[in-house]
Amino acid sequence: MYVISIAARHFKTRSISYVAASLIAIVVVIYILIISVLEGIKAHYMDAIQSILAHATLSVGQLTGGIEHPDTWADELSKTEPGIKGVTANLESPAMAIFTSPHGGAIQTIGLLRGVDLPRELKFGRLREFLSDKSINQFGTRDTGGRQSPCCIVGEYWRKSYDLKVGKSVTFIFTTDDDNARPMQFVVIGFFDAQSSNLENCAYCDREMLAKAVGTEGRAKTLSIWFDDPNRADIDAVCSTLKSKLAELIVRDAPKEEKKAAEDRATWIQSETWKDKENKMYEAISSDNFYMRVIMFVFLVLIAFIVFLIFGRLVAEKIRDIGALRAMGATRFGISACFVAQGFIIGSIGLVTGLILSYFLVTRMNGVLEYFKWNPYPEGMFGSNGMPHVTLPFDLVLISSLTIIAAVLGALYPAWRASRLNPVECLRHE
Amino acid sequence: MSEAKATMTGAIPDGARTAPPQAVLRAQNVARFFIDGDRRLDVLKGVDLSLHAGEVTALIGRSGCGKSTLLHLLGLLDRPDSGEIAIDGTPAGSLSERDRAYLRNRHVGFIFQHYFLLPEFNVVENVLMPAQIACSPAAWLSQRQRHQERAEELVERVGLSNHRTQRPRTLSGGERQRVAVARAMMLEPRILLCDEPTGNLDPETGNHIMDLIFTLSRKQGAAVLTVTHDRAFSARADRVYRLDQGVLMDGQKAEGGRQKAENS
Repeated sequence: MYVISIAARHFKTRSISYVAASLIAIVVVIYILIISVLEGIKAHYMDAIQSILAHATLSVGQLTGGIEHPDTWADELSKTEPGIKGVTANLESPAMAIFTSPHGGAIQTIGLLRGVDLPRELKFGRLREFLSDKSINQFGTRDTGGRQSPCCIVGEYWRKSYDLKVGKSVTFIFTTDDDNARPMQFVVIGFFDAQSSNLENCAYCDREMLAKAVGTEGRAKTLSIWFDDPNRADIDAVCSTLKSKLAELIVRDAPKEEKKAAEDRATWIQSETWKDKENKMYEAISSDNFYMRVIMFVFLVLIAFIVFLIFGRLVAEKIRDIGALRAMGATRFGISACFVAQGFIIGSIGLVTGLILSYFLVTRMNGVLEYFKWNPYPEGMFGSNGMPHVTLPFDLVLISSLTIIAAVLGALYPAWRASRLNPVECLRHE
Repeated sequence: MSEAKATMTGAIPDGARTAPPQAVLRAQNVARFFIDGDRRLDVLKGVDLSLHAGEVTALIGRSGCGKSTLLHLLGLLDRPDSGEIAIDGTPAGSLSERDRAYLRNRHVGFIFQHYFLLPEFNVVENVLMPAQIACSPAAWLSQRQRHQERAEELVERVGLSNHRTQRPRTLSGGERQRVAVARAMMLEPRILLCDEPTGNLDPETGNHIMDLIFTLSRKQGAAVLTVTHDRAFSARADRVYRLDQGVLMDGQKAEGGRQKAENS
């Protein structure tokens, strides 16, 4: 009992303990604040990277006949692994878009025509979040001067650049399966704002309609996989499993006489995750956060050293008390436990204070920045929500365990030294 | 180890009972030397000593003659280079540090010249400290009330009821020593070892402390050994020993012998 009692009283009565706890609290606050902002920025960019993109795609390559049973295979693949929200089949074709300029004449640009199954895309993907008109559920057709034109949804980048409006016509020229260029008029029914000009340099249209126009009716070129958690750690392993499953399906559903060719075709399957698409950016942001954690680890080593110095001094000051305690029957282990427990108390109090402070600072960060009229990043960089911040449970566990370990480790050697002191010499200490 | 375990539970193995039952503490042929550079200092040369329940024994001798060393050995704070010390018949030499700490806690009370009170704790908390050392956190929860009452009673007996919550630094020397006396008596030890308990006090306060030690120890039946330079203290003791050049002699005889030598 005396271990707790002495450790607590030493902490309470010595101002240096409060200094140590405050230092630990400051490190905890700085760590959580910085790592939360970095994680927030990372999440913001991850969100921008993921945006309307599928979390993973499976394709059978440009030279093959495509995915022959898109809807059946999509359904079967979605049941292969847990955590798959859904699978959709797409047909993508590079195309030249021709708009009528508001100043007269035509504007041409190169982009992507993406044929999708809109209800499924809206159900599993994030397209609806980015739509200007959230009520769009079907592409359908519109009457344009006596004939029915298919509808499309166009990227915000084109709207801004070419002054497009809902109801306007756009002509896309794309290559058919037999390598002929085919123009087709579309009517714009809405826009999507993916916050990336790269992603917005495209238009969505109905997949079956596009497949028919391209000459690959009933087929798709890619399968898009949507996960419940796009950041899942095993995303590559799951993609690999899905790849094998698709190969199985291609061979299984091929007519008997084409089995051999299907087996060959199955080797062409490629998978790509959203991380692969923007690998460099993802790696850059992730490594930034990793190095931040390394720097904070160095700070914690410094804390351990400060605690070590404090306890070294404390042991020197408490030599006579140590002698008295040994005379009263305290064991060597008990004496060392008094100091280690005090290190634990300093670490715990510093940690809890730091966690509470950082909670208030992180949650009110944008208010504080606004109050001081200070924005460390260019205005509008992160949209209208101010500085992004995400506090991961991983970081809370990491900082909590490292703080306690640092404080206890710092106290360990002085505590061991205290326990080895000769009680007689302690009592004779001047 | 089995002996140590038996001690921890309070039972003393039959085989270990080497001293007669009336001797609470027995030292046999205890020697202690220190090495100073290439010189060997024999501080204690085969000391034999028995302390008996209810008796006050005074240990006198010149400064630096080894009185405190003997006291530390008897209190199991140090180990002799040869010889044996037995507490309640249990030889302490073969015991582990942990078991010696246990014996010290349950059977030995120390009173020092410099009090050695813990400055962060108040009077009652200082008195309670040996009980806190004796208890695990779980045991403390169930026994705290009893120990608290005992500590309060001792504080009252040493006349410090009005200073219960004061820290040692706010007390006078005499008051501090009274706290030390109460602390030493907290667990009703069989042996009370005092190292010049009145050495830092004026004669009047010293007398009060002396009275306290005599009264409390006699009431509890503790064996008291006190190192002292205070003639009044040694005059009131039941037995007096003198330590001279590492040898323990009957104090009265030594005193008489010296007087005779001086007269002749």
